[in-house]
Amino acid sequence: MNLVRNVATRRRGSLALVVLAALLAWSSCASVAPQSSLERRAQALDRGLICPICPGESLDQSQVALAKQMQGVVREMLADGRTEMEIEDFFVERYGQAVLAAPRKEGFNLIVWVVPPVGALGGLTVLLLVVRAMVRGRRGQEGIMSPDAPESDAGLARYLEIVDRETGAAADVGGPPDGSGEARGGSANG
Amino acid sequence: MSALIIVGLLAVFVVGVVLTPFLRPRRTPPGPQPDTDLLALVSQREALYQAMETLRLEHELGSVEDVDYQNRLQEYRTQAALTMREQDDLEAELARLEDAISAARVRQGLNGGPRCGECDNPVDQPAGRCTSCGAEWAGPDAITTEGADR
Amino acid sequence: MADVGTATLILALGLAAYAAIASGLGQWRRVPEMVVSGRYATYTLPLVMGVSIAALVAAFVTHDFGIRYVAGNSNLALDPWLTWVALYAGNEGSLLFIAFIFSVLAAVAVWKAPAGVRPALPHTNVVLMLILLFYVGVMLTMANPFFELAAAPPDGQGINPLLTHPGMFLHPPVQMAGLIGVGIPFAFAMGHLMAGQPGDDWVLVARTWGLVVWAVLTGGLLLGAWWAYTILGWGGYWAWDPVENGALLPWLPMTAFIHSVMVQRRRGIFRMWNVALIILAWGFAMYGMFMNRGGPIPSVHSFGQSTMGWIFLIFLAVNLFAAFALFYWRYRMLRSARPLDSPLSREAAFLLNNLLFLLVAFVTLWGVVYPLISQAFQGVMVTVGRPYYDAIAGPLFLALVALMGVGPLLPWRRASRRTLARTLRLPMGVALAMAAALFVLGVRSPIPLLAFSVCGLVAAGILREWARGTRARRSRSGESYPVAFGRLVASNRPRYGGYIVHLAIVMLAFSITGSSFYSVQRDFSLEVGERAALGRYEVEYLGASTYPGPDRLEQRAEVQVYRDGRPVYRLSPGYVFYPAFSMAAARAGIRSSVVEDVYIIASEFSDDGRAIFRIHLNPLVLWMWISGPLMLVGTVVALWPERARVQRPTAGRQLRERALASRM
Repeated sequence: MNLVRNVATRRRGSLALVVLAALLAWSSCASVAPQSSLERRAQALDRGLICPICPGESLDQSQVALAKQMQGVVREMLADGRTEMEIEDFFVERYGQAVLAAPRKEGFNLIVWVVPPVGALGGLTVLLLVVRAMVRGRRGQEGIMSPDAPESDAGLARYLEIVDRETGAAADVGGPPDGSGEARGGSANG
Repeated sequence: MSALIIVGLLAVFVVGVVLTPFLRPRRTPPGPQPDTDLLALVSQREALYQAMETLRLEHELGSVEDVDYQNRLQEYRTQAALTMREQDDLEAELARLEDAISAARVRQGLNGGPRCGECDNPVDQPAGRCTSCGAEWAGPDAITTEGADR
Repeated sequence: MADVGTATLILALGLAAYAAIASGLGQWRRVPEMVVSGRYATYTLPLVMGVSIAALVAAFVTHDFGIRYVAGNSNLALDPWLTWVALYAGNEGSLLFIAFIFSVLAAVAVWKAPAGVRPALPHTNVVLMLILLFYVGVMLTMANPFFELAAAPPDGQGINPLLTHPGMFLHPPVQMAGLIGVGIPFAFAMGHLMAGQPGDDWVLVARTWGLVVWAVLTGGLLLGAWWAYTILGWGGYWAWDPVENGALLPWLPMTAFIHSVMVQRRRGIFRMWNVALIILAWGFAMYGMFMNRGGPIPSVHSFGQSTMGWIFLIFLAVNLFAAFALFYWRYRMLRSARPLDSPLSREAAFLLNNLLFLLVAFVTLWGVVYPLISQAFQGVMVTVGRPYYDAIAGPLFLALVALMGVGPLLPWRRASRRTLARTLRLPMGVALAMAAALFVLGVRSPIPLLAFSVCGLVAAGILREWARGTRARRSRSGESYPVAFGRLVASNRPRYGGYIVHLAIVMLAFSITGSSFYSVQRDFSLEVGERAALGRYEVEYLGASTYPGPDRLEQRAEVQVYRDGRPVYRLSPGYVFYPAFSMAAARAGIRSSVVEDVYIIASEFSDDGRAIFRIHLNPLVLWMWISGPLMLVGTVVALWPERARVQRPTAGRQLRERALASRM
């Protein structure tokens, strides 16, 4: 299999490095014992509710007493057996819709959730069409970078030689070619 | 109080700096500036060389096939050569203009004052027609080269 | 001090106005002395603004509480080091700071402008000076940092406690410098449009400044995340707060811009895209500053009670209108004739890159704007917060990271499907292997699995290119591996600098995936001597102490942390309470390792000797902070000037112009 062959070749190095990263990711992510599902649900709700008196902080972010109180209420209600929806409604009744960290996917607020994916699809479609039109339009013209083919080959040969010298030198050493001025018989001086 | 003196001095200094271009005697333009068209050609060639280098690298890395590599390399090479020829032509023309101007300057310098290119009599107006022979006089800075091409 | 400050500001106003008028008029009427004079005025402005800011610093140092700004942001007990922070802690001071930075940047930009943009330089100078004029004008008319109180109070209010964190020494100045810095490439673009000369010279200077400003903006964002993480005390670093979004928004088109200009430089296409991107970046930058100064939505980051946001909104509107008018006027000049060669090419990848960044910007803007729409149409205020952004922007960012992996592997002009498949073999293999390994080891959710695999794909692609390039060079020149690699980087600095930055972004993505999906937290109420367990760690409460200060009360708990049963280190989480502000700043106890962060907050000390702790385990956070310096290194490598391959010509321009004039 390709993978086996790749491992056997000199690309072992990069593979090893990346597998190391995988182990790192695993060791940090899978090492914690699962929490009680009640606590996990409570924390999810904390993240989903905004503290009414703080500037846009969710319950788990806010440090004020009211936020702590609300967190307590959340856990109480969960222990009582209420659902997430009921708990959210409870707070919405008291503090208004802005207590939810993101609007519900219903009614007018559906717009929030629908516009981005639609916009993304629309943008991608336009891009695809534009690229296709560009490429098709290009197939019409044969021209590469210059529309005119080099006519006087003889006159150009001298310059081609200089180009080869300049680029050959540059490619091997990675430094600038010297004397590009001298080679061309002097540039005009002001 | 001392603070306001500082500000006052600062204001004087700054205004002085800002006014220097007006107060200096009108000196000759600071040396030859590279012509913008020449610069464009040079940077075009620079970009082509860079493209060739990148192409070489991409070929080495296996992203570009041999056929594509050869074709494109030739394209860039030819284009660079064309650019270089255009640059040579442009520089030659500029050198020609340079000579013509120095010749005209010499003429002016020897006879003290601008002269009409046709009849060589002194002219004292900024532009219009030569008062002696009626030829068109485009001004003391004009270059009247014989057989000016294009 | 106040007189010096106000006087220098008035002087700066006059100079900026003069510079704009002289440059514009001089260029229009062809009076070179005026143009040069305008330029000189630009050069003197950093000096004048420097004196102004020095006056404010002097006022702080001498405790001149007669100045309202000094009284509002410092007190006698202020640690002298914090004077630096107090300088930009408030609205007025930050405006002065921004204006000063901009005056320096503008002077350097004009001074170091390369020859190719000289014809358009007077226009660029006009734009730069008009921007500066706005800021100085706003200061003099509605936000004077040197405004004096009728009677000087005996002591000031002191600095906002949230700003006393080391991160505050760097984050605001860097962020503000980044935001205003966008004005520099913007001015060059506008100058190019105004001058009306077709050509791509402005792209070179735009790339250089674009990269510098991008690096500063990225630094500002990362420093902000670090500050939020260590002082806001909720264990996270990014909350999609409106001000955070305001800082992110200009970063998005800016990133697209620095990539897209590469295409313009190489192929002469995407001209309109690049102008549009930089206009957008500047628009967002000013929007960010508006948000920070009295935007409609409050935030932890904003400058508190400030109602002057509307003037920034007007400035933003004027700028956008003028810029797009210029764009429309010069539309024909920007249109490029050479289209794409193939949908499978680097150019096409950059086009997709532009689109994705614009989509993220649109999505972010939509989330910021929607509450206002809801208010207008429904009469109901809603919050659009983290759940929305995580769900909508998250996948787009993931797509961008994936593109970052595939894009650099594509050659210019056209890639054959065969070579592309061959190039992608190793990265895909690595990604699949990683996904399989993670799955087996217990990471089961699809999104983190996908995200980690994409990170693996990108990293493998980059390392593969490095390895192949080094080997190819070695076989040609016979150098040792390190030398070959060094020479390889040195001869392809933009490319390899870019690779380094991409590697840093992979680290960032890695970190965000780990900490977003696998952070755990739990609250514990502990008595002295009691232990709590979370994961492989145990935390023992040792005791609490109180440290009173002149303007604060500090309470710290000492905890002993055990890992797998063995004691490893101690942390001191606590609170600093500032009565003057009735605000408490958290001091989290944090211990970072490459695997995870142990993050402890002591949230309450009750009278019966118990303390309530919130313990977080945040995986992979350290990689985010590591990525910052790496990005800086990559940017420096990419910016390091390469030696010119072609010698510059020296023929005269006036000759040609005069010849052309006489032939008419």
